[in-house]
Amino acid sequence: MRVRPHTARRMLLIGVGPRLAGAALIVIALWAGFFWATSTPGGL
Amino acid sequence: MWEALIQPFAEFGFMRRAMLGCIAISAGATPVGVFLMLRRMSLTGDAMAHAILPGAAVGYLVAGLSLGAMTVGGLIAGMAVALLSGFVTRVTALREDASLAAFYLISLSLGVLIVSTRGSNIDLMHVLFGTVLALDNSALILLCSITSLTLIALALLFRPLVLECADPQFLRAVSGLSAVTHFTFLALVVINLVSGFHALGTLMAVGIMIVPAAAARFWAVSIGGLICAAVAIAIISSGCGLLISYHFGLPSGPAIILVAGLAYGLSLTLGPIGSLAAPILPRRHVEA
Repeated sequence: MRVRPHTARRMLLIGVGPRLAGAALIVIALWAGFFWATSTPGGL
Repeated sequence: MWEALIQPFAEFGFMRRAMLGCIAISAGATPVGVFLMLRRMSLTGDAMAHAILPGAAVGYLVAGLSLGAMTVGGLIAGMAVALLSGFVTRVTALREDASLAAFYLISLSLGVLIVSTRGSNIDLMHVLFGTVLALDNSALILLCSITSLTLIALALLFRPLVLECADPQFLRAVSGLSAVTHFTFLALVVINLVSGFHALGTLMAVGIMIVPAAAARFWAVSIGGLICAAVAIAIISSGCGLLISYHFGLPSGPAIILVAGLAYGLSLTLGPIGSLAAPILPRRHVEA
């Protein structure tokens, strides 16, 4: 039987776009939290 | 209520920083902990957490309490122990758990020896238990960067990681991504342990990784659900632990992990999936 590795690789990439978008949103929120926590008075 | 729950964070910058550091660790390390648990490697995480100690100790000896030096040292030591134990498992008759246990115990004793002979008890306490209430800007940047990197790597490798948890032979058969996935995952474990090490110390770093993941097991079935539940439990435990530490003058790291432990106990008893109470809880009828 002929093996088509690219098919399996594509299968492993299903849903990467939405997951990356979700991860990017969390990362943006995290860095926004960083700027808020370090810029407001009362810091170290 | 305001005074007890919000005022410490509104009034004191160190509490906000501690909370942000804990959120960063919860968002990055806890999903890694979920995958560790699914791969039946929970105790491997503990071993790796101890393994980073001598590297951090050497970094401390070279540059004092320097964030960069201790981070690089911890990363090198953690990766060295991971690779060495993998190598010994492949070329000798020793199983992976025994090999890892041997290396991490050697590593831990070496680290404690270095810190205790060349530093003070305060330094040893800092390395073992972390300083979550004293996170400065550079430490927070490190934690947020590691979390960002982890989230992006998990988003890219989610399906291969899930497949490796469920059926590693199949992943090896259909794709060349097996080795990449495995070593990227090990690297993620090490960098997240180093991240947790700065806030919670070597002894507690693995706690925020594994305990919420174990608690989430009783609330969710899907892997996405497990990750969301684990991160939520970790963040709530961090907030409650910090508040308990603030109001009662207790050490923060152990307080956070103990609250997570309490969440684990509650989940174990009352969670809807596979818990002690699950057999007597009403279930949904299956409809055709």
